Amino acid sequence: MISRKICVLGAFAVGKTSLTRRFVHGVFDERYLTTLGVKIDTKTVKLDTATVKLVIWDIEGADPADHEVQLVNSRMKAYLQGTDGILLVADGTRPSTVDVARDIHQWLLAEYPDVPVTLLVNKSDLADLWQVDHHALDGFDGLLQKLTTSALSGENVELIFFSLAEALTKNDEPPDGDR
Amino acid sequence: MTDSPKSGRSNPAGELERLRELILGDQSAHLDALYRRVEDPESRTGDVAEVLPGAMNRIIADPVTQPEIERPIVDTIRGAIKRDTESFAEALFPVLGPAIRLAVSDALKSLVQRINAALEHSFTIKGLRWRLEAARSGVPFAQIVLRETMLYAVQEVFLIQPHSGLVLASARRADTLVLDEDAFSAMLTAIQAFIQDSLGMPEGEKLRSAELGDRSLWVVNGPDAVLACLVIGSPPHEVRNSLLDALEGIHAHWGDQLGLPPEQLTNRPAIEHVLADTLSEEVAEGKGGSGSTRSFLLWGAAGLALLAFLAWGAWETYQDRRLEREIAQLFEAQPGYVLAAHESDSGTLHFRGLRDPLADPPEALLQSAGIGTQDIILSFRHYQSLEQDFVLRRLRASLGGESAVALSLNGSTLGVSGSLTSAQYAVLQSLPGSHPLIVAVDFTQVRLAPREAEAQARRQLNAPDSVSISASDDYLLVAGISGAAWFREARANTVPIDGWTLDFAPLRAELADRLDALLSGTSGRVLLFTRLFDLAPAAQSQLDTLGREITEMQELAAVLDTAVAVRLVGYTDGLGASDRNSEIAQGRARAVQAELVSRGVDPAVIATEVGSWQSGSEDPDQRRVVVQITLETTQ
Repeated sequence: MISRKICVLGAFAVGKTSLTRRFVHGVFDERYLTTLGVKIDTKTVKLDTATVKLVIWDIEGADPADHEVQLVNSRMKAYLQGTDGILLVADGTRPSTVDVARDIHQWLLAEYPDVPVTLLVNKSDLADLWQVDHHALDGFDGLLQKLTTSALSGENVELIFFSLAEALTKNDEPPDGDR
Repeated sequence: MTDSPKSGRSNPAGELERLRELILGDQSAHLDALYRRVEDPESRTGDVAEVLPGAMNRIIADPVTQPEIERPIVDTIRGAIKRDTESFAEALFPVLGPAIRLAVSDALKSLVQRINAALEHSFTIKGLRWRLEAARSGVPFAQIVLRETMLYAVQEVFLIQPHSGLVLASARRADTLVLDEDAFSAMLTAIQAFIQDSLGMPEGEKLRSAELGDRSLWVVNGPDAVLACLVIGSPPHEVRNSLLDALEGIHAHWGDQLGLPPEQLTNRPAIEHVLADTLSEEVAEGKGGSGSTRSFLLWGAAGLALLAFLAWGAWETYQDRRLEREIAQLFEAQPGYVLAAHESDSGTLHFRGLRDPLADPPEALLQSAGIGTQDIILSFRHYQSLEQDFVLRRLRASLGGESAVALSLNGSTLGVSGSLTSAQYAVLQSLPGSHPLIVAVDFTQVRLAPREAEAQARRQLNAPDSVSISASDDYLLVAGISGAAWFREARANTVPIDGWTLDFAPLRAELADRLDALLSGTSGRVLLFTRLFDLAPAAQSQLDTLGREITEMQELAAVLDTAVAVRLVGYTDGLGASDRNSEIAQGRARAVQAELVSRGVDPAVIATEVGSWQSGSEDPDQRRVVVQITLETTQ
């Protein structure tokens, strides 16, 4: 079986943990997220060509309203090391979280240029409160995918993990990183 | 040559000197210097000091020459110590102190750990067992505890990529609970990063161990992989060294692959073999001599026997409890049973409670559940269950076994449907007020019982004996034969019979058959005349019969929605004039008409006509009237 490390990043309260919870069977208590700043789950995905065990690092996000907080702090950097793929999550009802995602993406392009990144604009079930249009998602270059999701309805949730697993197994070359 | 031999003899030293000068030339000065150097101890010492280190190195490196030099050195030192012990003690003093302190410190640390363990175990079952062993063998308790606490085991080993936290390979003991190793190693990596970040530790500083209770997590860090081990007990330091050796070995053999994705390791089984070799354990009991081994075996056997006995007892008790619970659940789930108490006493199970007599006997219940009744005492007293099934079964019994009544309970209302005799009706009507559960009875779906309905219909319709009335499905079928008048009257009777519908179709069919029979019997009948308009003597009685039959046919036709049409066709013999003959034939037909009218036949249904005849011959049989009767639909 193939195992791959995936990190889930994004601003505070964009629904990262809900998206992950929708997909995985939890191993550890979610209290780890508030204490360690990361929660780890695993999910085995059966593709046509291979079986992939995704080790999903749900990394606690920064609050975009709190300008004191560093966008990507040293602990997050430590957690990101050796990652094979990244899910970058924003909240479709809060445009500020898209800005945070864009900043993180710029940072990722510099630090992890070869790691595939999927952008997820979450909470698609809240149509009335939706504030992010197509243009707001400009400035994200080189993404693997860009999707709207809903942790509540499950829209695209399975798809994103399967697509990422597929992308990670197609690439025979080891990802450039700290390995 | 001016010197004579005489002069030479007179000064031999001078000559010898001269000869030396002749032979050696200027080498002579060098030889002198060499002589002086050899003879001078100071100079020789300098020469030896110059070559000694190199010579010593060569001697020590050569396995043949090394023992040769070692022996005299050892002997010399030994002799020197004997001769001057004090000097050597003084020389070693500054070294001995720190060395002893270091050793004692290590020993004390280990001792403190074991004493802690001894205290922990003093008041446990294990502690009591060790005390017993101490009393039996005379070995001090503390020593036994120390021995026992030497147990340890390396349970699981993971080889982890340091940054991604992905597992490269792992090995575990057979009795180990399998973790989600990827989740575990990722979490360990996260914790490592968290601690490093939180405490601001430099990159090289890593988590080495974490402890909880008697379990600990050891982390051995390498540049390209980390070895994480789950350990039980307190392994000696050598275990960590062996883990370090394993990690170094893995780096040496497969170092170039450790940074690749885990599935790209070319020889994972070999790595896992190396990891499996680190799963060590230490069991202290094996250290005893042969005597203590025998004793241990004896005690072990006795212990095993006791354990087996206890296990058997526990198994028996467990089985009894399980059976008791199973039977109790059986009775508790069974309608018509109230289980009041159950207990197990010396292998016998007692069950007490109440049973409705309509419920299956308890022995039969156990039998159908595949449970034998041996060693089971069942004491159930009778009671009447108010469970719906039993209430209804009891009511059905009170209505008689052959009853076609359907009963149902909706709360406290009894629903009744089907046919009910008057007696059954009376029984059910008396229930509200007398029955503990039923407060109302719904009779809306009830009808009279078939036999009673038949009798009531017969009375109501005043049916003659030739008519039968029988209940079938929802109908009372009226059959047999009756007069048309009765049929007409009965059919008009609209008084309903409770829950039943009168069906006259069978009777009507039989009346129709009767009409057909009369029709075929009468139509075509011939009435003979003697002369002119005088009927033959037999014709009078024929007319009587015909009149009755036509009257009956008229009545039947009236109730069967049809009508009777009578045609009387008159004939004469072939003699005489044609006109006259027609008059005679018409007259004969009218004569018969008058006879029939005089016998009660409605003149409106009778028509007369003249038949055709052959003239020229006298045939008395042609002096006749032929009766033609047909049915006409009235609607």
